[in-house]
Amino acid sequence: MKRLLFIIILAFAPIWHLSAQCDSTAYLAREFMNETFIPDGQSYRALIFDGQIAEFETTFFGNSKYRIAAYSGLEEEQLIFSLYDQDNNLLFSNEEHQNSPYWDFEIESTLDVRLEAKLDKTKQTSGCAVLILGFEK
Amino acid sequence: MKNFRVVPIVLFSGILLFAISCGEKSLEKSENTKSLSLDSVKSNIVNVSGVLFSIPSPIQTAILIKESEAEYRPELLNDAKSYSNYETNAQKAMNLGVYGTDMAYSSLYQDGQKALSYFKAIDNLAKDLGIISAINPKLMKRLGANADNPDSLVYLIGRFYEEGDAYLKKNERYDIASLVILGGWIESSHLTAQSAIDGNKDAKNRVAQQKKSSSTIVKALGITTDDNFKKSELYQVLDSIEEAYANVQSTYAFENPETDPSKKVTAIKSKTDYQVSDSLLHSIASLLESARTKITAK
Repeated sequence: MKRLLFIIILAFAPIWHLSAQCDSTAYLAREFMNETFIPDGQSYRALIFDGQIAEFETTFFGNSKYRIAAYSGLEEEQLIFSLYDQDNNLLFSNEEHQNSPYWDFEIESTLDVRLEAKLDKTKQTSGCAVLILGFEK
Repeated sequence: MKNFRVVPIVLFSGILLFAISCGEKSLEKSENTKSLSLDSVKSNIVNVSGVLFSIPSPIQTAILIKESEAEYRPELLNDAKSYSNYETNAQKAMNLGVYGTDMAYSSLYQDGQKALSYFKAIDNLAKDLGIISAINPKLMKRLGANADNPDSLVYLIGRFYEEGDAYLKKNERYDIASLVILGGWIESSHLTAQSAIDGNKDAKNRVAQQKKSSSTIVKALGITTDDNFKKSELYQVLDSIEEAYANVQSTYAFENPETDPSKKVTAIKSKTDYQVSDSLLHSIASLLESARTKITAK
């Protein structure tokens, strides 16, 4: 019984570690959201493993400026995020900009978008990914 | 549809626990992994709750109403004293969302006294729901102290709800998290629709632009809430709202975005045109009001 418990603990240890890491990751991600950008009030977190992708859809309103902060683990530039429109056209990827941990978007006209995030496999194979979405008042 | 897999924390843990307890292979690995985005969750393995979804901020909508020079309508807001009448966690969660929108709205119109009364309601509901312990005490103090300072307040409200949402999801309370978001969305949409009916064109456009959100919120609630909620009259109304929104027409034209790496900014040039008739607007407004009445009922 004790052996089984030990095996279970051993099996889950990395997940618990990653889960606990999420709060620290979120703290670091928030550093890129100064008071100019108002958080949208939601928390986007996911444990991502090698090759996996977290995604969600949302609406960006016209005549607005948004900031996306993206962080994984405890180091900058480990998370790749990409923004697509409703027709799957790539609008932006931070992969083309050294995995920048944040980027701003000026939106002329309201559009539905899909945000994808994945780990940069050359830097991290598993970790807690945190995305924060804010808009400028 | 691209094939990817997302593993939110709880879902992954839940799947592993299930696999261990049942001795069955619950998660097959393959080269083409599946995503766990809102649209692709069809699992019968576990109660899938750790799903990522996003609803635009109700605060942003409150700001739009104010900036479109719509008249201040305090009579549309929920009574701040009603918080003590909400008994179930679902009622408390939804009205926590409602009060956040009302606090931002009243503060933006320089009604600091009313905004402060909503702060008290939010504080009490957050305590009842066990969220308050997760909120930075300094943030709460600033929130109460800036009721008459809308520039700071809207930021602080955003932070409050983000920290609360993170805490709820970390503790697997996805149903409560979704209901808080629902309350905020319904309240801001209701306020927008009423301004639209008064002839505010910006508000009318914003009502139409919530089409995506109407389907997202119904899907999210379908995944995160229990059968009782899905049998409720409120859920039926939300279904009707989504059905009504299906009649909102839109045309989208892609334009190449322009990126300025030195400023870390990309200008999105694509354009979407929404069309909503007056009769459809009135139908949506009526349904939003119905949902809102059910949420705020004592």
